[in-house]
Amino acid sequence: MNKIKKLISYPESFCLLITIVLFIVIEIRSGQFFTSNNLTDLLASYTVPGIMAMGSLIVFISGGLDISFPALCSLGGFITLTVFKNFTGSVIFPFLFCSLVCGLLGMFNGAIIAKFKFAPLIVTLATESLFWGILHGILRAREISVLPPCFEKLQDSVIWIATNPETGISSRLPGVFLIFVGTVIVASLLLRKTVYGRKLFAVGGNPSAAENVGINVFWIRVSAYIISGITAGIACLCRSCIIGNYHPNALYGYEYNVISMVVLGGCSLSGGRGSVIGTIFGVILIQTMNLSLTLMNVPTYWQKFCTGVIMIIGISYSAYRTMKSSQKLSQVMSKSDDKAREVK
Amino acid sequence: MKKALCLVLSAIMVLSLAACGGGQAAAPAASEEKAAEASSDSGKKDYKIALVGGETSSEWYMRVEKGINEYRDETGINASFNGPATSDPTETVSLIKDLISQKVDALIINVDCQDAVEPALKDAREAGILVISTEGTGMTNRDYDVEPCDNKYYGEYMMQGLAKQMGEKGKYVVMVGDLTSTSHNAWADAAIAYQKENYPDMELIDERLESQVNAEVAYERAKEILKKYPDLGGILGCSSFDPLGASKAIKELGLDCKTFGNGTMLTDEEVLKDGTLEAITFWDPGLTAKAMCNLAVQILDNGGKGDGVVKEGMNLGYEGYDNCVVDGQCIYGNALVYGTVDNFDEYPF
Repeated sequence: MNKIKKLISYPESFCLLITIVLFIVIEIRSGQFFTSNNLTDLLASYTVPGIMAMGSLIVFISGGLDISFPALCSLGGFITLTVFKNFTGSVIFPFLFCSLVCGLLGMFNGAIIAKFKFAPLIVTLATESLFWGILHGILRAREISVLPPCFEKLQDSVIWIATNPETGISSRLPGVFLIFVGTVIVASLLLRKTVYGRKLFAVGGNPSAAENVGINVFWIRVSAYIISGITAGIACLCRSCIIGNYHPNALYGYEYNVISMVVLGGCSLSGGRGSVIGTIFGVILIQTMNLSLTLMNVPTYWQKFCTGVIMIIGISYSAYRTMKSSQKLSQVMSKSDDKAREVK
Repeated sequence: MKKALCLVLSAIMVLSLAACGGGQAAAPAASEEKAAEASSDSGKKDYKIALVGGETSSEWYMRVEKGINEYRDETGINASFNGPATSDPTETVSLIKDLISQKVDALIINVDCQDAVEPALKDAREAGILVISTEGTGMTNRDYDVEPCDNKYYGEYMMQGLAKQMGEKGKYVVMVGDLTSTSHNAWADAAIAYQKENYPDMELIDERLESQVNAEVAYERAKEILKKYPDLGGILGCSSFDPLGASKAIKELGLDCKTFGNGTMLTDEEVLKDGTLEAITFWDPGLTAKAMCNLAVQILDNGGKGDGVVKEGMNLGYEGYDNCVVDGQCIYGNALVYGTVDNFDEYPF
C-alpha cells in the first residue's frame, strides 16, 4: 500500500493517469484509438516535439529556461538546407552541421545567461527576436519545398507500415522516429548514469552549494543551452524530413507546446527536478490530445477550449504537489528550529 | 564588464534596427528619383502608395512584393511593399501606424488578419489617407476593396473543380486556414451552398477543419479525418497550404480521395508533379496589387474621390481586371487561374 502511495506521489504518475484516461475516452468516443494505424500515426507525431522536449528538460533541470529554440533551430535549419542544397553525400553531414550551428547559437544564449546572471526568460526572449530577425531580415528566408538530395533516403525510410484491416488505411512510421528514440536514450543515460547529469541536478537545485563543492556552475549552465540548441536543430531537420518542406515560420510559437509538455511531465520550473520518463508522458499527453479531438467529434471551434482545460488540470496538480511538499519541508524545518531552541 | 556588455548589446540592437530601416528606406529612395523623373516626363503627381502585406517569407507575399516593384518600375510611381516578418497581427498594426505617420497618400491592405487592423485603418482614413483592401469584403474601415473574383464565385469555382474530380458523388470536407478568416469562410459557405443545389449525390460531413495556414497541421488534420472516414471522397482546401498537407496524407494512407483548392505552384510542386494533386486554383496576387495601385492612382487623380471613377465595367489596366463588376465599395475582377503541371512554369510563386 505504501509503495502505491509513493508511486502516486510522483508528479509523473499524475500525467500518466490523465493520459490513460484520455486514451480510454478517445477509444470510447471513436472506437478507433487502439488501431495499429492510429497508434503508428501518434508515435510518428511524437518525433519533433519529443526531441525538442529532451533539450528543454535539460535546460529546466539546470535551473534555466529557453524559449528561443524554435527561432534558433529555424535559423540553423535554414542555413543547413541552404549550405547543403545540392549535396549528395551522407545525410549525417547536414545533421552534424546543423548541430554545430545550433550548438553555437545555444552557446551564445548560455554564455550571456551564465556569465552575467541575467534572467533567462528575458535573454532568450531577446535572442528569439534576434534569431527571427536574422532569419527574415538578413537571410530573407523563404520556403524550401524540395529538400537537398542527401535527405531523399531518410525521407523515404520507413520503420514499419501499419494497415488497418477494417478500413484499409495504412500509416507509416518514418525512419526519423529512430532519432527520437536515440535522443531519449542518450538523455536518460546522461541524466541518470553520468557525473555530468548529477552535476546538472546539483546546479539546478542549489547553485551556490554546487559551486562550493567545486562544480563549474558556469560551464554546466552553458552546456545545457548548447544541448537545447542541438536537439532543436535536429528536430527541425526531422520535421522537414517528415513533411518534405521547410517553412521559416512553421515552428513559430512551438515553444509553448514543448514547455507545457515538459512542465506537465513533472519538471520543476525552478530547476533541479525533472525526468525523461515524465517528459515523455507530457509529450504523449499533449500530442495525443492535439491529434485526437477530431477523432472524438469535438468541433473545431471547441478544440482550443478542451486543450486549455486539460492543461489547467495537469499543471494545477503538479503545482499543488510542489506546494504540499514545500509546506512539509517548512514544517520539518520549523520543528527542527523549535528543537534547537529547546536545546538552548 | 556587465555594463560594457549591456552597452555592446544595445549598440548591436540600435545598429540592427538602423540596418533594417536602411534596407527598407533605400528602395523607396531609389524609386523617388525615378518617380521624379517620371513626373517631369509625364506630368504625373508624385503619389506615395504603400502596400501592407502578410509575412514576408511566404512565396505569396513575395509575389505581391514583386508586383509592386514591377508597378513602380513601369509607372515610376512611388509604391512600396511593407510586410511583417511573422503572422503576428500586432506587428502588422504597428506597421500601418508607422505608415500613417509617414503620411502616405494611399494604403493598400492585403493581410490575413483583417479584424485586427480595422482600428488602425480607421486612424488612417481620419488622417485623410485613401485605404484600399483586398480579401477584405467584410471590412468596414476602408474606401474600396478589389477582389480577383467575388467570394461566392471563388467558392463555386472550387466546388465545381472538386465535384468534377470526384465524379459529382461522395463525401467531402472543407478545410479553412483559420475559423476567423472572412474570405476562407465565405468561400467555404459558397462552395457548400453550391454543392447542396447542384450535386445532390455529394455529402458534406463534419465541421470545417482548421489548418492554421500550416502544411503540417493540414496534413495531421487530413490524416485524422481520413481515419475517421476512410471512404471520404474529397477535401476542399481554402488556405494555400491545405492541398499540400491533404495530398501528403492521402498519399501516405493510400486512399482514393481528391483534393482541390487554393494553392500555389511552388508549395505544391512535389505533389503536383508526382500526380497526387491534379490541379489547384489561385490568382496572381502580384497582378491584384498592380490593379489596386492603378485604382489608387485613378482615385487620387480624381481628387481622392471615388465617385465617377468607380463604376460598373471599369478598367484597372491589367488582365482579369479590365471589365470589373462593382457592388457597393467592392470591385470584382475575373482573374482565376486553373493550375496544373502543364502551366506550372508560367506562375513561379
